[in-house]
Amino acid sequence: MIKNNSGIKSATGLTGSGSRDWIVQRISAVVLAVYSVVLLGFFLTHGNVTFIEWSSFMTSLPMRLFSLVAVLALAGHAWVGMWTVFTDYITSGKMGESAPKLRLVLQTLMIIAILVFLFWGIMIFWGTGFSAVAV
Amino acid sequence: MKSNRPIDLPLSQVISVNRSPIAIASILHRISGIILFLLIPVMLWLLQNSLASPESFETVFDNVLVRFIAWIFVASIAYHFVMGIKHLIADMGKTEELKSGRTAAMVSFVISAILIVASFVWVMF
Repeated sequence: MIKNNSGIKSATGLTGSGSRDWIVQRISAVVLAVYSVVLLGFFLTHGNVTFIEWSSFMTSLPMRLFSLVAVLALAGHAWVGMWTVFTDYITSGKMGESAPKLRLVLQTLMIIAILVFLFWGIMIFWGTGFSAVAV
Repeated sequence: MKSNRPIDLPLSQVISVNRSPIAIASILHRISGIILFLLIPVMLWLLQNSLASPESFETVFDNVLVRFIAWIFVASIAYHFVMGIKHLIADMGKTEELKSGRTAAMVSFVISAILIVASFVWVMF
């Protein structure tokens, strides 16, 4: 067992502080919950949604701002959540000596994926145009 | 304080020992979170196409497979949302005892089940 004297409990956590990660998880949860309810409200008040209704709602300034905040919240929420899952289940006790290496690889992939999603999400609402992605 | 509690039980053993609704609600909250994380790229793709043009909007929503995946996403959000609210209530120090915790888990299951069924009808038809 190597003793950790770095003063930081986990370098792969979002903020380097358990209590701050905890707060980030709660604040982002509330943001995402409100965002979900707003979207649900839109769908419930628009029976058969047309493209014009949907796009004019989502590209209105309030929704572009709220979507930006929601994408940021999603990035923070996913980071803390996935970190918790990895550090709880990919452990030496459960998986043997190779667990720390595997966990670092998974956490790295998770962080890269979140950065891609973050940029992609921002581009959808704040990019220059809404172009379709080929199937 | 030195504790001798076992901290490295395999997950399968934890689940087989602890079948209380509280434990099941908790592990499903995590699983729904993992599903949501994995579906983020699909939903970003769906969102982008739904906003790109009337044609891509139609193509995306006319596809039954896309609608089914969207339902998996919506159902996971519904469950994760309800259990998240339960968690925030527990953070405030309420429904933390064994009995009230069980009740909170059972109530959350019922609400989630209703939302998941309703979302299936809503997204698929």
